[in-house]
Amino acid sequence: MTTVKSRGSYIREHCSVVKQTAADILCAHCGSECSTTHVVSNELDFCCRGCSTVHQILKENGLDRYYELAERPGISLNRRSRSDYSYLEDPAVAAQFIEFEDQTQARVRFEVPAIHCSSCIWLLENLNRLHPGILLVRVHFLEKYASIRFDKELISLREIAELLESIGYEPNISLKSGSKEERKHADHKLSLRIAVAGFCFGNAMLFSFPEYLGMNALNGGAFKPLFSWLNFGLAIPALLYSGSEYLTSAYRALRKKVLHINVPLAIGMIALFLRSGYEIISETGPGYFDSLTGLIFFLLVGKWFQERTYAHISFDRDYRSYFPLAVHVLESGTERVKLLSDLAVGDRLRIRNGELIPADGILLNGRASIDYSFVTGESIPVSKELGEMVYAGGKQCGERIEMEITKEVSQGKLTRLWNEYGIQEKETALHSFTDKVSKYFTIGLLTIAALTLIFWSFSSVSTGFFAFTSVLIVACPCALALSSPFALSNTMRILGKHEFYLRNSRAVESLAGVDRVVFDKTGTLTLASEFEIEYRGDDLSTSELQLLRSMLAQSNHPLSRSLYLHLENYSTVEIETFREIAGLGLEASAGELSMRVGSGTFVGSGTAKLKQTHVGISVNGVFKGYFLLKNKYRSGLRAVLSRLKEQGFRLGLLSGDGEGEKNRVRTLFPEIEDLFFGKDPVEKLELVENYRRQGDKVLMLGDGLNDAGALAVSDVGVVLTESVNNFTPAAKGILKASKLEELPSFIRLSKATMRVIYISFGISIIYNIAGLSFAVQGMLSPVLAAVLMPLSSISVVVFNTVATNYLARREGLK
Amino acid sequence: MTVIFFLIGCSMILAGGFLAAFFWSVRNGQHDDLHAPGVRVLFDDELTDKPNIDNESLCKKNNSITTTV
Repeated sequence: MTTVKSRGSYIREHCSVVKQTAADILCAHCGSECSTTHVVSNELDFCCRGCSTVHQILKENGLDRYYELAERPGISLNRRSRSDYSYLEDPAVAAQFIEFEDQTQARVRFEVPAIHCSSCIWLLENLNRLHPGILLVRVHFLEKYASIRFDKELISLREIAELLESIGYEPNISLKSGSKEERKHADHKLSLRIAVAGFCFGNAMLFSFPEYLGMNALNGGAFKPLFSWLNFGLAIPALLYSGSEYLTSAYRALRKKVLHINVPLAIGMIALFLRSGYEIISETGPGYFDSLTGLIFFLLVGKWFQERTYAHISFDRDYRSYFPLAVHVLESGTERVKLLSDLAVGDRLRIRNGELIPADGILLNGRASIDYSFVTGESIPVSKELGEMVYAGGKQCGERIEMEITKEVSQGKLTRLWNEYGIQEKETALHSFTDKVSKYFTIGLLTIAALTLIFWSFSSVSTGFFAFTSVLIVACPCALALSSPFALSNTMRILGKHEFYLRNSRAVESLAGVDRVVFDKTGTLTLASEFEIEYRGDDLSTSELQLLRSMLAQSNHPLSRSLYLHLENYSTVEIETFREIAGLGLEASAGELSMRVGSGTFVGSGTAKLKQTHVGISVNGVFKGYFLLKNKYRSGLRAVLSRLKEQGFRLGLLSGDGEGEKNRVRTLFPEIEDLFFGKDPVEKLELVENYRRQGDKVLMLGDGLNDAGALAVSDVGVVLTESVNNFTPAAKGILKASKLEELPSFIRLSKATMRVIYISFGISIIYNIAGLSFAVQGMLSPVLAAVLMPLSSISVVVFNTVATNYLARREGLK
Repeated sequence: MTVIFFLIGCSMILAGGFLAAFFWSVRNGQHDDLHAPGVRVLFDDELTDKPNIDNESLCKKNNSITTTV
């Protein structure tokens, strides 16, 4: 029925040659460098068998246009294990993804993080050519999901997930994407509000034109009342629909006895509305409805600009989006699928190669070799003996294991961190510069208005009210309210171009205030999969090294891969026997030579007690020596640290590793003042909190789940990642690891942005003083207001945008 | 000049119509994804007339492959 064959059969049929090394050759499928597992098929180069298989599948199904729409668009399948989607057969699980269903058809929505170019859209929307059961696919590019309509008779949900995975578009299936949260329509609401405000503003300006041009006498003044009343009619939806948020938010703020920026804005709006309404009803003037509608329009545009964020990047993933949706449970000897949310203490789990351990528990069966790279950033798997505790968040590499849960999923060592601290999106709005200023601004404004009222009341009460409302109108801090959104979000956009993604524009302001930078070590300062390798022991002969390299080539273990690359000067030889024992090591023989590579106990030496990562070697049963693997620090790190130091930051390092590295770090990076080793996630969190209690503003850089707590409590938590689509703990920002070198420039730009905001504040004060000098004299005319208000708003917006762009260029960030 | 009364009525109805159209399009989800639809338009052309040509040329070029499978 299906035209897709298994990968295995393709490899046997088409991958004629498997070369061992190649430098600077790019994979025809995914564009990554062909290194250890270079495959040549159909005269094209591929970085791995997975890529070559996908290429073959697409070609056979007439889908090679995929490669024409974008250059090397594929998703690398290297080093990826296949997921087990059997839980999707469970109707309860499937129901969480099915959006719509009838007798024969159903529609499912899968999050596919790998969607990145036009080719992806094309391929996914032509998925029906790969399987007749697929009826229609629609890709949502920005939010990166695919909505798939399929024939239930021909294909199951599990098969769809497997089909997607087989061509590299692995669906992201987790509790979070499964739960049917109502999509927020706040975004829609804002654009509708802008549309209404824009409509009213445009028309009100048109109807105010005769007034601007002094054509009062036109046609005997018959149009004047009509235009005024039309303006009145336009102002009502603008104020009550478009501007309603400002009014309600100001009301809430006043009830809490807080004066944030919306208070003077709301006062200005109400003053404008009442004064204009009074003028029109009493037929004393044309009112200021054009200014009112314009004000609301500009404010909303500023808000829209500020609320634009990176829709495709999730900043608040918690453990639910990382853990699988369901796991295999052993119940009275038979295996069945159980939803993660139904797991209870005492359940016996079966974890296969590449699967994640979802809860803390005790190892009952099998040899566990657990990769905790998501937790600690350390990519070398940790071996566990029977009866030992295994903690949630690790990935089993190797044989199938069984474990018994001792703590509920939500009570695990890691997950508790989230439940207790979570990501506390502290309402920074009240601490922002604009809000600090607006407090004094409001008080000053009301004082001036009251004084004006009292002063004029001695001569004439009506002039007094006229001047009073004029002050409130002209002092409306539109420019002040617009400057931060435009400056901050423009800076956020510039940082995003350099692959430093901030959760929202307010984070730029937090970043500018930072005075202490704290790093995690493993995975953040060090590279996850590269090591400095050193050999200790008796020298190995060339033939021994050749055998060693040949056996390493057979293994997928990260240590084997690193050592294999280290020994690139030696050629490989034919191996006669080969055995890989998960958690222990490799064994192979060729001719007279037999060799064991792996842990201390496996090669029969006393190095088991060695605290550093090492790989032991024994030849014909005799221990020869061992390779020491030390974490390699990111290149250019020294320069980054010294630049940060120059800028006056206090630097610190928090590591979960033992003290073994302390001296090395101290000599390599004397810039770092405070070194803390052997800290568990909770201690990391407490250290950061301590700094904050001292009054420091902390920028925390981390990568793994063990930093999640510290990231959450810091002022700005930033996650370093190799790819934005990877899983990252909740944080305010996500920084691509290769851009770490630019971090000092990023911070400088955010500081410069704050200076731009201070200057705009000065500009808007000048406008206000100019306007007030007319207003207190009771001389504010509608035309003057109509000119002054948009002029101040637009000039501030232009200034902020131009200035931040200029500063970014000066920092070399353009 | 009294015609202006009529014209204003027309212009308000027209502008209101556009506003209503915008409301409809937003609620209909037309502004949700601004990238995919633009690209998709170009794909549809290819789908209707190109696949046959593609397959033919593919068969000629890679005769050896198609026969072995």
